[in-house]
Amino acid sequence: MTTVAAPPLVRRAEPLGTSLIERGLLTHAELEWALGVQRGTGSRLGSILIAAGLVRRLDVYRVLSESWNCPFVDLTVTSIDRTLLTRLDPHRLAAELWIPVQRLADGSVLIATAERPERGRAQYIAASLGLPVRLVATTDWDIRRAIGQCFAEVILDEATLGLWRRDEDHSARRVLSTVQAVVAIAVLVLTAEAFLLAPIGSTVILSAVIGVGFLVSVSFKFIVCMVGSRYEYAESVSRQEIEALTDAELPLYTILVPAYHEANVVGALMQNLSRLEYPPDKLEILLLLEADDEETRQAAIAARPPETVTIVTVPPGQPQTKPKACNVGLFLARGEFLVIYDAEDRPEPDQLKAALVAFGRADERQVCVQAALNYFNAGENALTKMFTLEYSFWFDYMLPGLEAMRLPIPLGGTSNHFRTDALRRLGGWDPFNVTEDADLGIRSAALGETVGVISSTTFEEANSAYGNFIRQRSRWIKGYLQTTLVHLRHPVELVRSTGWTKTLGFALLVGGTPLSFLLVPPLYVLFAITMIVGPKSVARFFPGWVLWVSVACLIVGNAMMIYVSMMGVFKRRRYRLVLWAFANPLYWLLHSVAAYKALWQLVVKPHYWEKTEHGLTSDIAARPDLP
Amino acid sequence: MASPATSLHAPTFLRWRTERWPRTNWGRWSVRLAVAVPFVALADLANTTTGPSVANDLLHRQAASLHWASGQLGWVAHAYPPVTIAVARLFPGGAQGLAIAGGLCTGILIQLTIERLMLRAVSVLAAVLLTAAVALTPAFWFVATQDFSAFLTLILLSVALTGLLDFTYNRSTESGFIAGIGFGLATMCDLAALPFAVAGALATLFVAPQAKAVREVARRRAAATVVLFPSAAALAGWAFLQWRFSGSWTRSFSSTDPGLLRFPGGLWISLARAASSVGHDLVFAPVLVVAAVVLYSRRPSSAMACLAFVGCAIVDLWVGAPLSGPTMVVLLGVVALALLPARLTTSEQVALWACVALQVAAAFGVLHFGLAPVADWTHRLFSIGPLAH
Repeated sequence: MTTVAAPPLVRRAEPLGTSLIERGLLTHAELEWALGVQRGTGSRLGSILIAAGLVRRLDVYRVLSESWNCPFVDLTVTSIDRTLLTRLDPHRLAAELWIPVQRLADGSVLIATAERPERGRAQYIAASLGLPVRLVATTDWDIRRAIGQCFAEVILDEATLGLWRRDEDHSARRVLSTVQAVVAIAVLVLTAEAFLLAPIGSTVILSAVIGVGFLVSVSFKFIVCMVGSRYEYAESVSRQEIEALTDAELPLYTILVPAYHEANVVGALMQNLSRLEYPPDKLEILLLLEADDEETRQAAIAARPPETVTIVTVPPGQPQTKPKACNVGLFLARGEFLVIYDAEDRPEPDQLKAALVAFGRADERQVCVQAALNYFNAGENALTKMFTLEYSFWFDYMLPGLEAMRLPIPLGGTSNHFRTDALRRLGGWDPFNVTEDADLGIRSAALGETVGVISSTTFEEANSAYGNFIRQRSRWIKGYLQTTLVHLRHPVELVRSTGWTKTLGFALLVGGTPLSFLLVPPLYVLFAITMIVGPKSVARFFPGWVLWVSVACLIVGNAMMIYVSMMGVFKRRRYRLVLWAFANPLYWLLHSVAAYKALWQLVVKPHYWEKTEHGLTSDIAARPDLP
Repeated sequence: MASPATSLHAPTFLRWRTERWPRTNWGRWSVRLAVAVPFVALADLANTTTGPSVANDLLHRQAASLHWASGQLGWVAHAYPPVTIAVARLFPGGAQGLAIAGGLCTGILIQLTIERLMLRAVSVLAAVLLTAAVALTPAFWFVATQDFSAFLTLILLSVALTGLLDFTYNRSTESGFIAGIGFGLATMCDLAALPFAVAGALATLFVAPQAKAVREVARRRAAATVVLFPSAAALAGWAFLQWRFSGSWTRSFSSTDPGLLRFPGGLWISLARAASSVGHDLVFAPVLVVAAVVLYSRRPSSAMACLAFVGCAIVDLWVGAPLSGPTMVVLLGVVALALLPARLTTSEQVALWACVALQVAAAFGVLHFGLAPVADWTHRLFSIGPLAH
């Protein structure tokens, strides 16, 4: 039978506020303010004081420990007996805020808790351990830090291989399944044989397929954008709905900010997140830093982050990718809802509330809402202008169009808001997929869940350097290729679970996007041939109709992409960028370079994460509201 | 700040995409089909009594003569207008089939016209009567069943104009898409649509809510670009293709419109003739005159839209790529209904209905004077066919 060591006698304690004032840690005016906030939010007084930076976390918990009549233990200087943790679930410890510290001489176990050490709690913990326990107080931060350190291997394993273990077929750890490898080899062999036996006929067929494939892929995007444009006045979430939300009903919201070698922007991050209209005591910001990134860590500490920010060290190990870091964040997240922002992001202040309204309106199957992304440094150079053209149509037309047509939505890199539980059920992010966000959107659809969009915008830094752009795009395109391969492992099953329309939509969007970039150079070559030598000179290899179809597809496809790009920036009221849409064919050539690099990397370095460098902009003062 | 006149239009055209009549897709298509049935019957009747129309027959022959899958590329020079040729190629039944296709398309045009009027707080009865003043006329029957290419152009221009108004006044980019693509497709149906696209682009410069800020200038320029781009791209793309594959930039345009850029009698004389001819056609579209006057009384710059359409018709005729007389008459009637402002005063309503009566009388008057092809066709239809006394 489990015995329980006598828990500390909890006296009728002085209220926390009074105790803090008595110790000179708080003024009456500050307490009045905090109590006012408490009436609005219903949060704990301690959380409000800590989040507002009025009292240090350590001081709050020390005072609490006194009022609980319970010793305080500082876990940063206390070693933890890891043998006590072997059969415990770290998720549960993090949620319940306790951790075994060490065995005592009398056979009981010393337990650190960040919640009031009442008798019932002691009995519950003793029953969990099967040993008598003695409770001591500590801070919630100490407990989470200790869990992170003591369970580092478990967290790393879960973050890296969790999805693969649960559902191997949905992980990009293996690039090709056996069937896919066989099919790929067969197609390559047959194509080579066809070219050997009938080179002209094969060239003709291939050219026609390339031209039509390009047009089909681009037309699909154009049609979806047209559908999306219908919803430009349909506000997904109105200002009134957001204002109707009371602080008391707002849940705890976790913000994940994965950063790597971003010391130059991490200071601005604190400023940007401080603009969010959300009670700070209901925010949990996890800054996810790699173990070897001391530079960003020091910059983050130097930026004096508020108490709502927790710096989490991602355990070292391969693959060293953003999704792995996010999985570590997901492991530790306590929020009912969760969002990812990049370090340089500037979300619109009411975005979290807008997401909550959208979730409140949707059914339980909606696991995620995606906010729009756009750029604050659009006018910096030609590349940032083109980037802005592209993002404007993608997030303002394409995603709303996909949502309206109930097609799978590949999530964008940041500003994806999730129901945390649902995200865990889905298996989190695939650390082996280099566009883990797009993959997650498609996986949601494949598993019968839905993704929505909201009109709130997050302003990011557009890539302003060409080399950096190619690196970033090659990663995105490689990720789309990975995602296509992953979700087409069982095409029949996919059709059965999602239907023909969604499967086709997925194939055309996620598979068609890299394909269209890969097809651009051959089409440009054909175009150049017709320009330079004339169609008659190459009639033997490219009969008239092939050239005609290819060039017509190229012209029509490019015109369509130019047009949606124009309309996208027109909608965003960035009128001066409209004429830049004419540069779209050149922009696509850059994509093609990235696409061929991506294809090569898919073969030789499938899981390699091409890091995008942020903080390159010289347009620091750019304001998103003044494009 | 927008002028007071802006508010007159804003709710009207904004609702165009959000409030439909009838509300459901099923309802809309049922109305279109129901409206189209008599016109399809008329097309069938005309086919059996007066034989296939010359215009539709020409289009069908042109489409049938193209061997696009052959190794030869000269066919590109004979493939303009590509949209109607593609339809003629795909739609079965030759010239008779095209007449039936035109009859079917009437449903779309009439439903859209009634819908637009109803969204301007016009009652169902009034909307139907106003639309009937255009649709129940020999010129409309003639164009719908005898000249598929012109009728398709007319429908596309009508759709583009409605989109243009919403885009200009409310900055709805969906309507911008519709306007641009409408003009672009119309240009690929008939070269005569190009001046209308240009006028549409210019309208965004002059008719938009007033503001002199630098940003507003950029906005207007951008708006003109997005309206004009599809037409310009389509035409430039087509010109490029025919140059590369047939050796001439303009052959297909001039083979469709042999008088293109010829200016018989000199520039000014041909311009005067064109203006006089279109002025004559205006006799058949008094509703457009009322619409222009009412628009001018509320907001002078908006009346530019009416004038622009008339100007485009003159330019078409002048440069030698004219819409046929009957098509022009029907187009002016449809444009008048598209531009008619909401909330007319009593005196404006009296003037409107008087002009409607006049328009109907003029429309049937063509049987005795003017618009010779319509008069001829109608006489043949009624005297030879089963409707003959």
